[in-house]
Parts: sequence; structure tokens; C-alpha cells
Amino acid sequence: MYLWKYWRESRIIFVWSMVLIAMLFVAVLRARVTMGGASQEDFRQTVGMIIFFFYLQVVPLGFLAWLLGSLGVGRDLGENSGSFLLTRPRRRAWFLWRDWGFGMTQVALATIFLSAVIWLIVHRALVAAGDPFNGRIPMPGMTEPVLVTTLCGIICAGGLVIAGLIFSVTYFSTILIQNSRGTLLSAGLFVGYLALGAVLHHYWPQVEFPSLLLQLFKQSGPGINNHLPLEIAARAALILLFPIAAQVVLEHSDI
Amino acid sequence: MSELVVETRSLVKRYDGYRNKSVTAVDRLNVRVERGSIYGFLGRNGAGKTTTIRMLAGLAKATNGSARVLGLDPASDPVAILERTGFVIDKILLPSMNGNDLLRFNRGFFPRWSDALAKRYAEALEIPMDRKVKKLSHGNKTKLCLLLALAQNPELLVLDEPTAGLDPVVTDQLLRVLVEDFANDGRTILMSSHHLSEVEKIADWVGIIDQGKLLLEARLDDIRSHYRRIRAIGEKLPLSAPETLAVSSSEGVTEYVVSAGAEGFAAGLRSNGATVLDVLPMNLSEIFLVLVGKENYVPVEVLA
Repeated sequence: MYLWKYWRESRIIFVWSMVLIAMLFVAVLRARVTMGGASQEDFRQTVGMIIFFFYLQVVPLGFLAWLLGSLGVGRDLGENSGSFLLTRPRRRAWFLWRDWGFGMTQVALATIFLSAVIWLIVHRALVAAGDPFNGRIPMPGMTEPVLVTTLCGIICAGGLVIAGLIFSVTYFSTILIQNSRGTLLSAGLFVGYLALGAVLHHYWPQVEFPSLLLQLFKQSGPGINNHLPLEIAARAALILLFPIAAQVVLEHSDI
Repeated sequence: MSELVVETRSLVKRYDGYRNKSVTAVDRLNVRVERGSIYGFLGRNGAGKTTTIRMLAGLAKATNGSARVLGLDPASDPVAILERTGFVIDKILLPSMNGNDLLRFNRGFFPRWSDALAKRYAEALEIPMDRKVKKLSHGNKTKLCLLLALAQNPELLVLDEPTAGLDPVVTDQLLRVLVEDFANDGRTILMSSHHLSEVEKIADWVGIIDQGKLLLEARLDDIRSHYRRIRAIGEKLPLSAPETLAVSSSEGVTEYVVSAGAEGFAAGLRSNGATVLDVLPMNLSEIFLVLVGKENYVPVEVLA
């Protein structure tokens, strides 16, 4: 029944994002949105296209995750309905993990559906261009649809990792300040991280903050980044750290 | 000895303030609520009533001391307490839901939930259940909060200022439901308020709290039958005695408020050469004003 409450609060955001993705899907199906075919000679053009989609999806997914992160217990505390909610006979962690789990599921569904659209675009571009990979992305034995699906899966994982991080940080921020205005804190944290990284890198080029986005492909030469599973695992751990921190904060807070 | 459903022992709640200045909201509080009683928890605004109730509900953690609700510790076992206790604290519900949504939302949480009770109270209290909470009047919101707590079928009902801001008709409706439906079943109500006349109507026990300290805890019947105001004139009158709650002196008249043995106390004064002007019974408002030290201030409800 509690998930029903979260669904009521999030359904407008989630349904609208699904409608927009569906509209994009239909537009791609009807060839309203197309991507120029990649050159057979230059695999970098194809890889570049995939990376472009990877970056492109971060914006809507990040925004969706940011909005969904503002819902749940933190918002209830801000609306002063926290004492009503938290006098329902459940542990505080029970509410928190349901919020987080349901929100992450919505973020994951949106990411998967968006990746399906990207798959369709990339698949069409590659069909038009023949075989631009030409065996230079080392995935032996993969036919074109499998290869594209794998690559779109990697894009999907990359999108999920950054959207999940934004969702978790935002959710944690709303618990920390006991208000849905935690979204502002969360946005400030991300912007601050990027700005600080840029400033430090400008004055001390050797200083480089870890990227928030996954490095999908090798920087030198063709191929998928060998450390990708490790990078995904590290970011997944980071994503999990924030609801755990939120639980600690919530359990030690006076309501 | 009666079973206690709520008991606090030296309960303290202190909030850390700016520059190490801490505020003690609840100060070594010892409250004892017997099963089956209606306990009026009285105090001025900011006296520490709500903080105490929040600690009983497990919403706030005690700085020191201990609390037991239904024999359980709210800090370590809040879920078991919340399953058996109806708390109405802020009277702010989930704003996007209507009454029916809230019934649906609550149903799954409480093992003893009763839809029949919810329906009955919705009709008795005339609550528009299909209207969103944010569009309900203050009175209807309060009634809805009470309905949700009652439909849990709890053993204990803990209400924080349930009648604050309500008109007399709604207040009467609520008090009737509390007394006739709930308490008559032998269940317990702990109700904080600063509306003394309402508490006096329904409570059988009262506790008076001020600045976080419990000043008085007694049966209302005992207050009515034993508490007296004695006015006397004379020389070298005692300024303290074990049975006196307060002593004041003005224009040659010394006034005692005693909690027991008023006739004996008056006789003692007479034997010391004093002239006892009168021995008067006291109502709850008068006791309250004496205890919180604001006797010159007469609230509107007392004048009325």
C-alpha cells in the first residue's frame, strides 16, 4: 500500500516521461528521426555516434531522476506530514527503502526504454552503412544486431549509473534537510563538483576529479574499456551508499 | 495497583542550541497513565507536551530517562507500540489524498484495522471522505485524523491538542466520540490540551506540565474533593507546609492552596492565632493558574 502512495506522487512525472519516449520511438519508427550512416572506413564515427547518444540520454534521464528523487519521506517531512507517516507501524528504513527501490525501478525502466529507442536509431544507421565496425570493436563472433544490442546495453548501463547517482544523491538530500527542496542541494552538489573539477584542472592540469560518466570505450584505439565492469561496480556501490547514509540520517533524526 | 499503559521515568529532552546554549524541553518528567483512564496532559504552549508525545511515539529520542508505552520502549520497539496505539500529533495528513484514499493507505498497516468502524465514524462525524485533504477545513482534517486513529482499533489513543482551533460543535462531537465510543470500552486516552474546561469535562486524571516539569499529577476527583484555597490573616503564618502547593501573601492576607487535609490545615492556622477567612473548593483552571504561576492572568474560558 505504501508503494501505491509513491506511485500516486510520481505517476505524472513517470507517465509523461514514458509518453515522451514512446513519441520518440514512434518518430524513429516512421523515420522522422534518422541518423546519418557511418562511414565504413572510420569506425570512430560509429563509436562517436554511440557516445553522442550516451551523453544525450544523460540530460533527460538526469532530470527525471532529479524529479523522482524529490519524492518520498523527505518530501513528507517538508510538508509536515512526516509525523503522520512515521507513526504508521513500520521502521523508518522500511519507508526509505521502498521509496528508493520504487524510484530506482522507475529510473531503470525509463533508461531501458530510452535505450531501446537508441538501439533502433543505431541499428538503422548501421544497416544503412553496412558494417562500419569492421571487426575493430573486439567482440568476436557477434553479428550486427547482437553487437548493437550489446553496445546499447552498455549505453543503458552507463545511463542507469549516472541517473541512479543523481536519484540517490537527490533522495539523500531531501532526507538530510527534511524537505523536497533537497533537490536544490543535490543540483548544487553536482554543479559544484563539475565546477570545482574544472577550476582545479584549469590551474593544476594534473588534478582530475573522477568522471561522473562511465568511460565506455578505450581512449587509445578501438575497443570497449577493459575496466568497464569495475567502473560500473564502483558506481553502483556509490549509488547504494546514499540511501544507506539517508537511512542513518533518518533513523537519528527527531521528527 | 493498576496497570500503567504509559510511564515515563526522569524523561529528559534537551535540544542543542547555538553556541552551546541548550534548551530543555522536557525535564525529568515522571508521568503515569493507568489503563482505562482518560488522562488530560495540561500545559501552556511550549510547556513540553508535544515533545513528550513525540518521544512516546518514537518520533523523537529522549536525551535521558526512559519511557514505556504498553510496557514497551518507544526507542527500541516503536513498531509494536504503533500497531497498538493511535497517535494524532500534527493533524497534517498526506495532502494529495482524500479520506477514502487515506483509509485505503492505512488499512494495510494496522492488524486490527476496522473498515466498519471507519465507515461509522465517517458518518457520525460527517466527514466528506471524497474531498482531498488539502481542501478540507481544519475541523474536518482533525476529525479525519481522529477517524484514522480510531479505525486502527487501538488500545491506547494519544492525542496532541485534538480540539485546538475547533468550533464548539466540532469539539463536542469529538469529545462525545472519545468518551462514549472509545473510553467506555475500557480503553485509555492520553490527551494533551490547554483547554482546561474540555479536559475537566472528560478526564479522570490530569497531569500539569510547565517548562518541561510535571507540577501535578492527580485524579480529577481528588482535586475536586481535596484541593482547597484557604485565605487567612494573622501574624507569623507559616510560609510552607507539606500539604501546600502554593502560598502567596498580599495586603495582609495569606493564601494557601492545599492538596489534602484542608480542614486540618485550617484548624492548625486557627490554633496559631490566625483568622481563617474562607476555605474554598478549586476548579481545574484555578489549580492550573496557581501551579504555572500566572494567577493574575485569567483566560477567557474561565471568565466565560
